[in-house]
Amino acid sequence: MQLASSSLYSEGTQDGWEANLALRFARRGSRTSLVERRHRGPLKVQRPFYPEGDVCHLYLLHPPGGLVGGDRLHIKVEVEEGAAAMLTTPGAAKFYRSLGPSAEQHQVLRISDRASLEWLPQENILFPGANALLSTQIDLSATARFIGWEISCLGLPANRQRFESGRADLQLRIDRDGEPLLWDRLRVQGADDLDGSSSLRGMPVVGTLIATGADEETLQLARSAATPDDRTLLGITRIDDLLVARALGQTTDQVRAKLTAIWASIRPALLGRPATPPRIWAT
Amino acid sequence: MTAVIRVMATISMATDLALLRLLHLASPSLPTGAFTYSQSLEWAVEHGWLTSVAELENWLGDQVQTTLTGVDLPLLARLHDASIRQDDAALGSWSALLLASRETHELRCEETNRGRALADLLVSLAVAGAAERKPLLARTQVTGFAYAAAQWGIDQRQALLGYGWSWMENLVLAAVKSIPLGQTQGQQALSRLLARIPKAVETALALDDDTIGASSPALAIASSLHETQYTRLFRS
Repeated sequence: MQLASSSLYSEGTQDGWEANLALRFARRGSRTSLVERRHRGPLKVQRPFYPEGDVCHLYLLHPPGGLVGGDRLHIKVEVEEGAAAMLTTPGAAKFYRSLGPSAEQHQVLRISDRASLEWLPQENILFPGANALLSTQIDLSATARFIGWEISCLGLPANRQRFESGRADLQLRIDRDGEPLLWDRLRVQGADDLDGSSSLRGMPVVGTLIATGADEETLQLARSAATPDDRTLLGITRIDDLLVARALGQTTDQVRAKLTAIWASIRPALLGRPATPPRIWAT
Repeated sequence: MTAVIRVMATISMATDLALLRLLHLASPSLPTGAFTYSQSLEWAVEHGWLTSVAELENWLGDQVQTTLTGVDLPLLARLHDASIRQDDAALGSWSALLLASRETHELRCEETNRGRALADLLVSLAVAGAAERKPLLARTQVTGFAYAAAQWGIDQRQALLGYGWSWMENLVLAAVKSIPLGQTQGQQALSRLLARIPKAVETALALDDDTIGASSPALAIASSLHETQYTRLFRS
């Protein structure tokens, strides 16, 4: 495997540190290789591994200390033509209380024709008082395949700490060949926003799963695989070939369980592979 | 002197006509089928989220703060600007962003169905330039509304207020039918909710391009579930 790698630890500024991670996957022979890995600052990846043969699996390691005000994290992932990659994280991304400046995580995922990316990170935890901007931009070529989710937990429900102070700006945008397919931006600032009748309804965990290449059958598979229950709201829709599943719940586990079940139900149809949950989820 | 008075009278009559055009554009009797959509309110009622006037006001009041202020009104303002400039590229890109902000299949169908009906109407009313731009105007109902307002000389702020009125009235009437509420209760709720529109317009007009956007997860979930609701009066 060819691996272009460079490491340059950025100096922390008085306003926080800046970390960059750029990954590029390309088809090399019968499997997908991580052909480029550049990082700066406390954001790293583990060695790629191949539990399914051709698909490149990779763990992305967030800075162990989480993000505080002033920190900036930039993640860029490119999947070249015909390549297939799955990215997960072994731990949650944490946004701690800020004294003012925002902590930002910007993710750009670019997928070329006949390539696929699965983006299945653990949740983002926004501590009470955090000022967090999390943006995920997905750029698709015409025949690119994507299945991914973002799960965010506002506050610390296990400790009964609501996100009553602080700000959250959670953005999700998907474009195909430069045309916007979905633009979703959840803003929370203050207790009123936590209880909005048509927005969060007092539920601290919000999750969105997106999949491309879906048809009516895919929608039915997803709807049979996961249904709302007393504790978790769940709605699945299909906008042209874009499957969008949204969940609201009291705990991250409940929301992730719903989205995992949907992922498992549609993966064989959309990517032609059986769904074996990444081992790291079991630990 | 008489010339000045005559000019002022002409200006005044132009403003008067613009107000009448706005009332026409915002009228619930416009044949675009607005009354057949509830924007997932019907599911929220069936699911027990909306049982009273107070719950209805929370439901719609929340949407005023999120979607109306963050998406509909600021994009309507940009589409109005683009219509005045006859900038078809900008009309296209803001329409695409508006459509991408509609969260479900049903909400997008509503937008495009109403958009097509409104574009047809504007062509039949001989609105200048509507015929050659019909596919563009048909992309969303907000696009057609903005274009007509610009062509009819309706002031931008007034156009946003009129759009807010039309949106609110339609959903309150949907609630009156589905909760159900008494006609008087419905009018009282509408009267209170309308008082929130001027501030939404003020906020929306001050938004920068990069602050546009909204999300209503519960509404989006309700709309997704409405797609398979067994008994339905409304198309969204």
